[in-house]
Amino acid sequence: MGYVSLSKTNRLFWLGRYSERVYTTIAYMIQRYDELIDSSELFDYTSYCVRLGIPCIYSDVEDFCRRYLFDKGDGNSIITSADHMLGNGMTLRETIHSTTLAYLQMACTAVELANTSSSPCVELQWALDDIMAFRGSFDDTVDDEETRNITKCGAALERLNLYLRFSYPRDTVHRQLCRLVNRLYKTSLTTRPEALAVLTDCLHGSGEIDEKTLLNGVETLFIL
Amino acid sequence: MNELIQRSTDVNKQLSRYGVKFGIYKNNVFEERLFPFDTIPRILSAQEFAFLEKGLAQRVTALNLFLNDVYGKKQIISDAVIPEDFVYLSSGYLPQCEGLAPPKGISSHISGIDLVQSKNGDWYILEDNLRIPSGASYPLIARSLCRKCSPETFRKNRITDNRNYGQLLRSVMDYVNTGGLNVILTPGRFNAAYFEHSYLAEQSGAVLAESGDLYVENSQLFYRTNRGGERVGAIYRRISDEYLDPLCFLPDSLIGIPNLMTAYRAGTVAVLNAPGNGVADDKGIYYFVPKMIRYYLHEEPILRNAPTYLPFYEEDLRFVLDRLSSLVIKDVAEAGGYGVIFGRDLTKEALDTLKSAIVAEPRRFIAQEVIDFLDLPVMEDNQRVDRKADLRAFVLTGDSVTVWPSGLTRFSRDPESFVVNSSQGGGFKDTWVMSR
Amino acid sequence: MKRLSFQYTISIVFEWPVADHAFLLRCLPPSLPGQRILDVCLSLFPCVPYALQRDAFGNLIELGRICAPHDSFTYGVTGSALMDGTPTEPEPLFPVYRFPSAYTRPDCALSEFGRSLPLTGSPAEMSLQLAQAVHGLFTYTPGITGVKTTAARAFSLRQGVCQDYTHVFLALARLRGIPARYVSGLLTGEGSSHAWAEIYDGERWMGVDPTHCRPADDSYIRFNVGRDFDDCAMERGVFHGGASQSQSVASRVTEQ
Repeated sequence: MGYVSLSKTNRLFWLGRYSERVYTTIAYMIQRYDELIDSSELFDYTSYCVRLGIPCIYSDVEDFCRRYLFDKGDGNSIITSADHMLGNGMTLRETIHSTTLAYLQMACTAVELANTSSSPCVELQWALDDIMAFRGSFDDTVDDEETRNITKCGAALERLNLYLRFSYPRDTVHRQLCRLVNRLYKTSLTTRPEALAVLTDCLHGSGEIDEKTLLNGVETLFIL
Repeated sequence: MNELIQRSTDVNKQLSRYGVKFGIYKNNVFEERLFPFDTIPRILSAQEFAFLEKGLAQRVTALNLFLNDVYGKKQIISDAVIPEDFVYLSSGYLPQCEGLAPPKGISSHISGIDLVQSKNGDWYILEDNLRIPSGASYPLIARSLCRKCSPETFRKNRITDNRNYGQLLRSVMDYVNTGGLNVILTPGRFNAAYFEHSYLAEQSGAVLAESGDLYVENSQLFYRTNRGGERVGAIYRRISDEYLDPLCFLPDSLIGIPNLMTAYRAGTVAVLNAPGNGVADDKGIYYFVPKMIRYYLHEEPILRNAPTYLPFYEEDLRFVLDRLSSLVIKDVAEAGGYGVIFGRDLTKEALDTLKSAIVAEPRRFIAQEVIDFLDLPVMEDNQRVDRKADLRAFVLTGDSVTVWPSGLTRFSRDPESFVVNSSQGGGFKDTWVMSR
Repeated sequence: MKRLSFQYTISIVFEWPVADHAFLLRCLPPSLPGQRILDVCLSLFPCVPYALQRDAFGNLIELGRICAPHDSFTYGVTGSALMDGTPTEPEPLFPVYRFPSAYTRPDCALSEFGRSLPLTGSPAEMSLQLAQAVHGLFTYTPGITGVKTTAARAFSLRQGVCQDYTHVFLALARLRGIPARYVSGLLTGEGSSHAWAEIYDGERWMGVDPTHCRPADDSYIRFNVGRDFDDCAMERGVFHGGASQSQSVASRVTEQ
């Protein structure tokens, strides 16, 4: 290959971000569904929205579960993210191949099916399976290493972003940070020096860096 | 074949798995829909296909000669075979293309010729599509999926493989390529045929690009990459002429490439299909294609046109006005199944309105005899029903003229309708060419 | 025989910087029957290289691209031309000049007016009668019409500038079977660019200026010809940045 156009770089990166976002948020929601069997008090969806930085437009837990997952008109919903994931994939068909793209299509179809299901976690689990299969197929069919790394950088960045927002344990965050930084040197993605400094400082520096600074560094890392 | 029909559900699941869709705009909102597929194929015997193949190659060869002539010496006009009105008043004629010599002298690289078969088995040409005919990707992917769902069917029947379309397309692009990448230019994801654009890019090994990925510098076309500009040698553009270059055609086009036409004029890039081809697939010019074949090739046309009358000629005008209620009237400016009127469906008043429209602008209309279509069987709710269908054959012109041994068979889902366009809710079938 | 020296400068100022600016200019006059360009020089600012080509109508076009952000674009042409009125070889006719074009397609009112005109004599005489008719109809009024005004619209307004006079003239001439084309160029004196028409007399093109109601003689320098304004625009551009633009024009043609 060797030719990665600028617009393709952008799409590869966002393909990584959205596939990770869909995967992680669906996995999260499956857990919440389980807890809600016992009590609807346990899940504080308002603080979930605050942590994610999305407006809390939902009237109650039930409304949240329905709309956050399945409302296509809600720009922050999981189904909208899944559509963006597929949309980025579609524009990359000749790079990731139809075989890989099919898994994204299947994941989206599974989310749609979950919407009409009385036990949505079954179909949501299919969506997770399909995204996992997408990752494997992507790795397998995309020959160019740089192309693969752009998408993986996007995924690593999104995961780190979510870990920070949900206050994951420090060593988990640290491991994810390592993976991202190692990866980004293998791409031609342009980084913002001051943001990269925050990240490397956190990895190798001695001083404590608070989560907010780190999250800001993550969010502003790449210039696309 | 029955086994394949029983597997319809599996085939349709596979089609949805691969996102075989086309987009439509409904009330200004973009919607993607699965393109309804019917597993019962249209079957062409080897002999029948050989006949069509010869006739289609002849027709496309003549059309290419016409395009070169009409933007060059215009001998067919000076020899009074075609009245100049039909050229210069055609909306597809672009004076901006005058004097342009496309690489290797090919203007219509990918031609989609629509045919119908009448009840007595005769084939008629319905329409030529020489601009950006779409649809090849659908039978192409459907074939792979049908083979997967019903291998037995394909083991038992000797069907010519159609999965070489990508290679055919690639060899055409390579042949006209002036040195550089092969690129497929798409207006983007929200275009009706986006699936096709991306699938053909994958199948032909071309790079899929949107206008922002390309630019012209020093009369050459480049693809913007992370390592600078990469020369483009052939561009298969899936956007129409008027949007192609905002500095040459519509200035407001956001999906075109500024100065692409000057790169093309400089001969540094091949544009597939050539801009300006619309002059040759105009519904008015259609009437003259048999004459073109005789004029350029000194051969009798192998394939027939549907019997057509041109109100432009006094004699035809009188005939058309007399028999309007039994004819099909087509507005030459409209495409995609729009502007097709069946005289028998009109009330007395509507017929009179149409008559005065024809008298006022005779050049705008053609009239055709209604062909008694041979209906094809379609599965509907597990029942076989008969529906109107046509066949779009794909003819690729590169080093030689090749007719793809398959084609897009479209059918109307409405039993009353003769219009089979996908934009009007039709479905599609695979087209099998038997190898013996 | 007359020797003219000419200067033509256009400055486009953008509201804010724009980038990735592709341009196509038609600001170099070619040598034509009766007009020999002796020397000509084009300068661009920002200074970028440009490629030279001829379009389908025979006009010279200059095309290029300015990548870096810039808040103005100026192009200037200077040169001299030998205007030679002696008869030349007959030219073939490009048939599109017989048919209506986007800007010159007449509506009912304009067609009716055109058919009602009593025209007599040779094509040259008829074209002058047509120019008189247009000139008599119109009041020269800047600012009422724009670059996208059609002949039909201008005819209904009875007002406009040289472009509108010319479009209406072309619509009428073609309607009456006289092949005619649009010409953009410069007129002796100072001001901005001018537009007039040419009609084909069966062998050669002859200039007619409906705005001034006279034949276009050797004090008119031809830059571009085409079906209408759209084929002859001196400048077209596409850029990133969505800025609005204002333009100033200065031209000067003197006899040496």
